Amino acid sequence: MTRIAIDPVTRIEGHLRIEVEVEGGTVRDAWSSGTMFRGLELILRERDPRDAWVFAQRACGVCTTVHALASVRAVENALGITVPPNARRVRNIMAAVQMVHDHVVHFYHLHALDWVDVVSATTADPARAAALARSTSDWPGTVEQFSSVRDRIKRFVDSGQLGPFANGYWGHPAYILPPEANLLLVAHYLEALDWQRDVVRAHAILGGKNPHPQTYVVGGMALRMAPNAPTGLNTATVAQLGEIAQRARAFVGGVLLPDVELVARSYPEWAQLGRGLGNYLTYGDFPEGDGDDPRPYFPGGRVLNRDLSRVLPVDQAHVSEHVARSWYEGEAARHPFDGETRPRYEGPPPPVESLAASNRYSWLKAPRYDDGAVEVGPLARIAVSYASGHGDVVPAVDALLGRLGVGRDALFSTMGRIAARAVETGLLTDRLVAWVADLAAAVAGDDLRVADSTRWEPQTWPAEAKGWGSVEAPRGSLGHWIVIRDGRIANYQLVVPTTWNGSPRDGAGRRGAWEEALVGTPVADLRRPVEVLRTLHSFDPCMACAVHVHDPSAGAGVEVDVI
Amino acid sequence: MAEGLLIIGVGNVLMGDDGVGPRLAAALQRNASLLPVGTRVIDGGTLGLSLLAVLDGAGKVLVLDALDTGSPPGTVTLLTGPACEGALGRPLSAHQLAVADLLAAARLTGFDGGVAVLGIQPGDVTPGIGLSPPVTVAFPIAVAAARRAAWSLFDPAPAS
Repeated sequence: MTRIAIDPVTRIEGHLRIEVEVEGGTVRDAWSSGTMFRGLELILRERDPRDAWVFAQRACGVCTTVHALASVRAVENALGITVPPNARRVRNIMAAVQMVHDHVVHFYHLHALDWVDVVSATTADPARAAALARSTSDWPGTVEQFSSVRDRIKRFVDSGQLGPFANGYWGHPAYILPPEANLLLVAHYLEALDWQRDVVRAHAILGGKNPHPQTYVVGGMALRMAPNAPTGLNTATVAQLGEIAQRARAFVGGVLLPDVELVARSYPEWAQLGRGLGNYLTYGDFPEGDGDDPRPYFPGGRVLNRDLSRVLPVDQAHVSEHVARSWYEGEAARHPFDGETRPRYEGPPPPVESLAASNRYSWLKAPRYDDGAVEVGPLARIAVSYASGHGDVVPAVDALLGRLGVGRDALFSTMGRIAARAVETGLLTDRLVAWVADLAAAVAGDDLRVADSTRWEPQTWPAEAKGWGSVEAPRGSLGHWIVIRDGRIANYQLVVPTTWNGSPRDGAGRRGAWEEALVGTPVADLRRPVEVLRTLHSFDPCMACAVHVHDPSAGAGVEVDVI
Repeated sequence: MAEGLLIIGVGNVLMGDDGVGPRLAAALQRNASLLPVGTRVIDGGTLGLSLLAVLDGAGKVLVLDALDTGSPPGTVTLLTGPACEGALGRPLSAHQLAVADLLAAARLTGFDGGVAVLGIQPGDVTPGIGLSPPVTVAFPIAVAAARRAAWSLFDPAPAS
C-alpha cells in the first residue's frame, strides 16, 4: 500500500492538499485538506453590512463578482429589500458572463492539459489537424494556422520557459489523443486566452472598473441607466454587450462544445470513473422574475442517489457545518447563522508528511445538508434541472448523450462533470444573448430604476436582522449568511462551493465529494498520478476561494511525494 | 500595439502584508502625475488569467507584490532582467503561480515586453486588514522605489 500526496493541485491558484492511498493500482481512500485558514468571517465582524460585499469580493482570487453578489443578496434578504427588475437583469448578465468566462478558462487552461499532451502536439501534422478541425466544427482553422501554432508551442517548449505547460506529465500513457487532436486543442487553448479578454469587457461595462467590479450596492446596482446617459448603461454600451454575447455564443458553440465532445469521445472509460457521492444540491439561480416569483433559470433542488426521476426541495435551514475533523474548536455541527470560526491547529508540524493519520486534518469545515454530504457545481445544476424537466437542459443533455452513444448514468462521472459544465456554458451563452436583448428593451423603456434605497439608512433597520444570500457560482453553490445587530455585522459565515466539494470527513466519518470521487481511480504510475488530477480538476477546485493562497514553503508546481 | 507601462499591484488586502501590492498601486495612483505619461496603474488583487485583458497594450510591466526573499520584513527588492519572471515562478511571491502563469500566458499570446518586479518582504500574512509595523515603515520607501523603477523602465537610460 502506498500513499501519494499531491500538494498543491491547482494549476493557477490555490493551496490544497490531497492524499490518496493506492493499493493494487487503484485509489482505496482519499483525504482532502485545505491547508490555509480563511478568516473573512473575523474581518467582517462589527463592520457596516453595506460594505461587506467590498471585502467579500476580495475573499477569492478568481470569483470576485460571485462573492459580491452573494453578500448584497444576504444583506437585502436580512433587511427585506427587493431589488428592481433592472438590477436583477444586470446582475444576471454579470453572473452569466462570469460563469461562461470561468467555464471556458477552466476547460482550456485549468483542465485540458490533464487530457491533452502539449509535447505530442509539437509532432502533429498541421494538414491533418486542419482536417480534424473541419470534421468537428465549422470554426475556422487553416493548415497555416495550425502550422504556426505548432511552431509557436515548439519554440515555447524548447525555450524551457514552460510556464503553464510546466508540471505536465507529458508522455504519460494515460494521454491517448493523437498528435493532431492535441494540436487542435492546444490551438484552441491559445484562442481561448484571446477570447477571454473579449468577454471580460462586459464586466468593465457593467462593473464600472476592471478588474474589480464597483457597481454592486445593497438594494440594486450603482449604475446610471438611460438611453443617452454619458456612462453606465446606455444604448451604445448595451449594444456592445450584445456583440460580446454574440461572440461568446459563437465561440462556445464553435469551439468549446465540439472540443469537449472530442475529449469525451476519446476517453470513454472516464464516463465510468470518478462517480462520487451521487447526491447533488443546487440553490438555483439566474432569476427571470422578481420578488416572490423569482423563476430561476436553473432551479434549486436536490437529486439523491443519482435518481433523475425525483427532485427534492432545498432549504438553507437544513445546512450545517461540521468541524469534528477540522482545525476548529468544538465538535458540534452548526447552522451558519450560529457558525463559529475559532481556529485551533492540531496537525503535525511542517513540513507535513501525512495528514491522513490525523483525526483533524483540514482548515475546511465539512458542510452537510440534513447531515448528508452532497456535490455542488455544474453537474448538480444540470442533474437538478434535468430531473425538473427543464425545457432547455433536457434536450441539450439528451442530444449530447445520444451523440456520444452513452446513457444518462454516464453523467455521474468525471467526464460527466466536464460535459455538464459544457452544456451549461452553451445554454448560458444562448440565454445571455436573450438577457442582453431584454436589458436593451429595458434601457429604452420607462422604468429606469436600478436600486431601491428606501432601506439604505440604518435607522430604517430593525435592531436585529438575519439573512442569507446564495449564488450559483461557476464552481457550485455559494451561500453567505449574515446576522446584523444594531446596524453592524454580528456574525457572517460563508459556505463556498469548494468547502462543499473539498470537505473533509464529518463527525460521522462520511467522506466529502472529492474524497468519495477519488476512491476507485486507477493510478498507473505512482509518481505521475495524472488520473487523480483528472477527477479532482473535473470539480474545478478553487482553493483561493476556500482558503487563501500562501505558503512560502510550497513548490512552484505539483509535487508528488511517494510516502 | 501601444508601448505604455503597466504597473500592477497583486495580493490579498484581507491578508495583512499580503495586501501591500494593491496598497502600493493605490498610493502610486493617488499621485499619478509623478509617473511617466501613459502609465496605467491597476489593482490586480488575486485575480489570475482574468488580468490578461489589462495587459493588452502594455509594452512593459512592473509587478508590485509581497515577495519572500528571506530578508527582514519591510525589505524592498527590485528584480529586473530576464531572470525576474523566473523568480516569480519560484516560491518567492505569495502569488507566484498566478503571476507567473499570467505572464507566461501573455507571452504565449504575443506580449514581448520587459518585466520588473518590486517586492516587499512581508512580516505578517495572517487574516486581517492593515500592514505590520516594519512594512508600514518601509511603505514610503517602496513607493519611491516603484516610481524610480517606473521611470527607469520608461526610459532605458535615465539620468543618474
